[in-house]
Amino acid sequence: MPDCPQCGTSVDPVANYCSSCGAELSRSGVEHTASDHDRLDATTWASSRWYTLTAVATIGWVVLFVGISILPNSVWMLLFFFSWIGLPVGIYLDTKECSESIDSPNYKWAYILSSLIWFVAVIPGAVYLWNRRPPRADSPTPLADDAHDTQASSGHESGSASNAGFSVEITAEGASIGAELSDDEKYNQSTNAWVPPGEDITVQGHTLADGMVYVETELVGIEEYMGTDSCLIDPTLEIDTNDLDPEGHRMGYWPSYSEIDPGCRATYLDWLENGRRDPDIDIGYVFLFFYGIERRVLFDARQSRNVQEEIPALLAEVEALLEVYDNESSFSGYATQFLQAVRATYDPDSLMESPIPERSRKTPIAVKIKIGREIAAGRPLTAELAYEWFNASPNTYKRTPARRCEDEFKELFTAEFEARYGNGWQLEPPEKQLTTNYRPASRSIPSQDDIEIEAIPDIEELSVPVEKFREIASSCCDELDSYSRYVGKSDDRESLRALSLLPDVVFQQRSSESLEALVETIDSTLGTSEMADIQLDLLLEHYPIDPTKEVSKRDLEALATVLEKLGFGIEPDPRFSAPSRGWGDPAVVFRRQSGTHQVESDVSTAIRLIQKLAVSVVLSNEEVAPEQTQYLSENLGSFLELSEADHQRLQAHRRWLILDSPTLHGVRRRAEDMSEDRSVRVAKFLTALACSDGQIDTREIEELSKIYPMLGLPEDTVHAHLHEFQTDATSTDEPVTVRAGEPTSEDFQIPEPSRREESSTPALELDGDKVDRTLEESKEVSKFLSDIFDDSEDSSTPSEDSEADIVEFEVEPLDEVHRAFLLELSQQAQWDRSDVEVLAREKNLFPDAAIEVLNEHAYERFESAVIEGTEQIRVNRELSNELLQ
Amino acid sequence: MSEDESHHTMEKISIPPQQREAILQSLQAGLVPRRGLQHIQVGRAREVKAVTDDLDRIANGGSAVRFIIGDYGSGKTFFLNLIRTIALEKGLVTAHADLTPDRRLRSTSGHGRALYQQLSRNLSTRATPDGGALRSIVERFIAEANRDAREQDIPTEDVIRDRLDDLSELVGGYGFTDVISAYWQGFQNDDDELQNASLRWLRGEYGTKTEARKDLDTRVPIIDDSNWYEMTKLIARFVDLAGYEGLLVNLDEMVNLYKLSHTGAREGNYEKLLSIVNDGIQGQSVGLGYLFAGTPDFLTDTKRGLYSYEALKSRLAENTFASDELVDMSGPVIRLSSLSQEDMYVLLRKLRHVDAGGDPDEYVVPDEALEAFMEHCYEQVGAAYFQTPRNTIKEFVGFLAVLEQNPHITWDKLIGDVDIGRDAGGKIGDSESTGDEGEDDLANFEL
Repeated sequence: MPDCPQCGTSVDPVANYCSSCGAELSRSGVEHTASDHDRLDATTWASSRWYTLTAVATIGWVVLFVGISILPNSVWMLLFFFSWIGLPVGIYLDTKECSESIDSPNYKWAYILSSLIWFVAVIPGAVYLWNRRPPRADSPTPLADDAHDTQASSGHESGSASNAGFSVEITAEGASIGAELSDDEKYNQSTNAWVPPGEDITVQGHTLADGMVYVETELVGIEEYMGTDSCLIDPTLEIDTNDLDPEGHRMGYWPSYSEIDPGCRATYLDWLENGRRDPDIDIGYVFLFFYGIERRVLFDARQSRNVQEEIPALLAEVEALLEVYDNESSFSGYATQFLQAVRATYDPDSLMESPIPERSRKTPIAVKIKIGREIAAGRPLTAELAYEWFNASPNTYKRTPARRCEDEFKELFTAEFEARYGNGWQLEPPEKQLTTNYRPASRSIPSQDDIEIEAIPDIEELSVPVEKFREIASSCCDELDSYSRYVGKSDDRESLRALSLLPDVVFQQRSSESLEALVETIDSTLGTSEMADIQLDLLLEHYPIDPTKEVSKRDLEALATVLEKLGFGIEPDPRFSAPSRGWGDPAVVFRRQSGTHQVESDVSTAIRLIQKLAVSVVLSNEEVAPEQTQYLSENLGSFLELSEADHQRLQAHRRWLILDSPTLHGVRRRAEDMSEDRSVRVAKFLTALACSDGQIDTREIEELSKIYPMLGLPEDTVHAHLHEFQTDATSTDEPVTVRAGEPTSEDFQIPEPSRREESSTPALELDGDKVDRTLEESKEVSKFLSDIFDDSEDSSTPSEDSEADIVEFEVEPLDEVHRAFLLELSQQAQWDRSDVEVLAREKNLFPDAAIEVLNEHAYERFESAVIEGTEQIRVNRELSNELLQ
Repeated sequence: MSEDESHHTMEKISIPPQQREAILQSLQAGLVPRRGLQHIQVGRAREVKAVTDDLDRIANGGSAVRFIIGDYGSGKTFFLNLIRTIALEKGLVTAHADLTPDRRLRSTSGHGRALYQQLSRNLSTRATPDGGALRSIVERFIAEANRDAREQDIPTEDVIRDRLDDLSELVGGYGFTDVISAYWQGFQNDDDELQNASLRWLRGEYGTKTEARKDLDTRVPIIDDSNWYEMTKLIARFVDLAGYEGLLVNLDEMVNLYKLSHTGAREGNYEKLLSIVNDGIQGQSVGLGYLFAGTPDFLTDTKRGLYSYEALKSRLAENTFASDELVDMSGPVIRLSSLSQEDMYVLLRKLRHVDAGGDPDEYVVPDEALEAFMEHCYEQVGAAYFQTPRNTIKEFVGFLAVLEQNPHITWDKLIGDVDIGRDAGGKIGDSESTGDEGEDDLANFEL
């Protein structure tokens, strides 16, 4: 830790002024050492003796004030007179000295007079010192010329004037120094000073291997007013090997070899000598070295082709340094930018080989070149490049899935891009040329702006592609989201669950042993058939599902998804509302028809429900009648239009249902979604199904009775439907015949909405055919009945009918006894029963039997009774007369 | 539907005015006509033929049992009435009854006997079609025996006992013979009380043996819950001996058994039913047929219906082949389809035809009026109008009558005034009307 030369307190090594006394620090020290030299250092100019006197006197006043009671009287008095006289004198003489090159300060006399006032003098003194302060170390330095002290000194003063805030008048001499040097001259200086790579040079006892430094006493910066180029190693400058500063405490932010202290120079030379790879060295020294390379590449190489040949070696050196000092953000930033800019200029191809650097606020130049070239060449943009472009473009924010599952994301992105643009996307090259910028680390080299690079358009001009890429990326992320979440949660990328969540495109490119084994198992089970029964265990064991644990619904779902991606289908498939199944349970696998993708819909959920019910009906009598399964497969589809794939799945589902016979749990809840109309149709369908094997079993009816309430229908409706089914099947066939009719029972196979619903339209619609059939059948039955009742036109005339249909015992005519009885009865229209009984007894007849016989005759002939009543007996005398005739 | 075709089906069947009156009157009263059913029967040719074949079999000394299954309003009762009329025409004796909570096939508290009483009161013959034919049947048998006895100059009682000898092999056969003899004795001795006691016994009106013995002077078993079915078998034999062709028993409202909530009671009844079915199917009973009418759930309900009783179920199992068009009438179950709109339409045409006395030229209204009428009914009552057709028929007949009497009114003006009441739930031609309570109704349309 250095001490302040003025007050002796220890100060920060990088500070320019003492924190306690305000005295200038390093520069004054330098001056001190430099004054021994016969050459005035650029930094010494500010500390003329009058300036120092002013400063000391000002401080003296402060000391006087502070030490008023501490200091011994004599000392205090002595200091008092020194300060009282010294300050005005110092100011006067200092201004006088300054006036040689610049105007005297405006308030010279004000400073002098006010500095005569005791104690208060400290104020004008401090203000004067501040305004007249020496320039900073980084301020423009006049060209040092060790041959002309005075010239140099005057140069310093011209610079100092501009910094002191006084009216500046840059001397023609000062301004013309750099301007006199042309690029060629600068280049000549460079050539003189440059130690090319591979060559050694010894500087003050340090052997610097592999060159790459400028060693000379003179090398003006490209940015001329900055004076000597910072990188120049001037062997005439003092070094101090006893005061090494590897931590760089005394190094400024922009170090310059000529400005750092001898200890630092020695440290720098040590570092160079030791191969430039010491990782612990302060980065300031690395920069010093790097400045030289910058100059060589950015300036010298422009002047001469020969120099360009050195570039690869120089770049290699920078890369090597970059490796060592990678963690120094400032250096790595400059070095990376430098490498890019140089490569872009001299060797764009090499850029494309280098790894894409970390994301920055700009698209890396390498990517720009690579893609720009493709576009310029008229070649379409490939998915690969598109992904690179997307990745490299600024403001690209990759969502979690894209970052967590980068490989999958890239695959998806590529696939999606190719899906949209095929083999490539033809882009119009933008007009703007690609340029590169570089702001050198060295102060001595001007900023390198807009360096055009060959004939490469600037893709940053194109905003549409990036937008499209973001769009694609967004959809890819969506697709990848569930997989990504799963990976994030369980850190598992290979399990069944994980694979099942992969988007198809990615999944297709996956291969794993377990997948192959799974496919093999299924293939061997299926053989050549399309569908086969299988034990769920066989499938599950290919995945790390703990056999001692229950198989969760999610596992099963994952299995189904994976199988689907492999081109198979499985039942039970929990995605299609199948119940959860596990170890030891049966399943059905099938090959999915190529190109079909199972699209789930509400429709097939309903169908599934129906089928589930149907199978439960079929299974209710513990045997599966082939007619019933046939009926089911033929007619189930009639509910809805089903695709081939749906049929296939339904078939598998049916097969599984028969294997598994699941309970009807949950049917009621799902059936609630069905419209009443649909429920009735389903119910009728199930009833028809139960009947389809030619008999209705008690257990089938029981099952139906269970199902109907689930469908929201009264249990009794089963019987009504059963009845309707059986009567409809017969009433719609050919009319009037006991023989076989036409197969018209399809009417029921596809249950129609009942007639009740049909007629709910106000307009009455009669089925003409049906009316005809009914008429025909009625005619038939009328004829049949007429034959029985003998209801012919001649029925009003009393005549015996000889037809066989007529009841036999009526053939005989009325016998004599009954005839006589009727004759007696017909005398009176009304009889008491007792009288009739007496009458009958006289004729040896039984009264009721006799009346029965008479009425039979009457009915036979007149369709009506002749004698009526039980207690009061009435005689139809019209009829009796007819009978007696 | 072409007009020509439809006309052709209705032509040239002239209907005698008396019959026309009878049909229209009973329909207007909401009853099933007893005669002329052939004019208004719509469809059901197969069913009618199948059961008529049964009747012929009964007449030939065979047996039959049928279950007529149909929904409410499908015309079960109408069908039973039709069959009964045919049976009477064919010389059979018929008996019919509705089952009620108090009238069942079997019970321990007299419900079975009550059913038998109802049946015996409703015994009908062609000449006595409205029930109460028991005395006629008995007298006819005795009269035959008496005539033979006089011809052969042997005591009538011997002839009676000789002829009834066959019955002795049946349960209660001896008692039955004794009761018939008692009637003869009562007649011979002009003992009305004895005659009436015999008939009371035959009608199952004795509740205790002592009572019967007191009245009949002989020790006879009485008809009770346990043996009433055997009595119907005896009666079947007896009517055959009396010169009739056989006995047809119609039991309606079988659903009352299904409604029995006590499982034991229900199964007891089904057991009884099973024995009837067995006898009918196996031909054990001679000249006896049973028709049962009930709703579909009575048949197929597996908890309380006939299907809950496995033995019955196996006998009543139907052929359910939907695609097989062989109409199977061989099984004991006949299912009646519910009336459709088309059926109703045809029925209205038939009524119009009857109304016109069978002459298409006399039609009061054109075909459009029929449809308009149906539409009107539909608007008023909804779909029920053709499923419970009684009111519709009633109103239609009335509608025709008004038009006929007032030729100046056009049908389309009148149609709006027709008021179809909703069917309160009765049945067309409720069989009660032909029983004791219904006698007054029936008097309305007897000529």
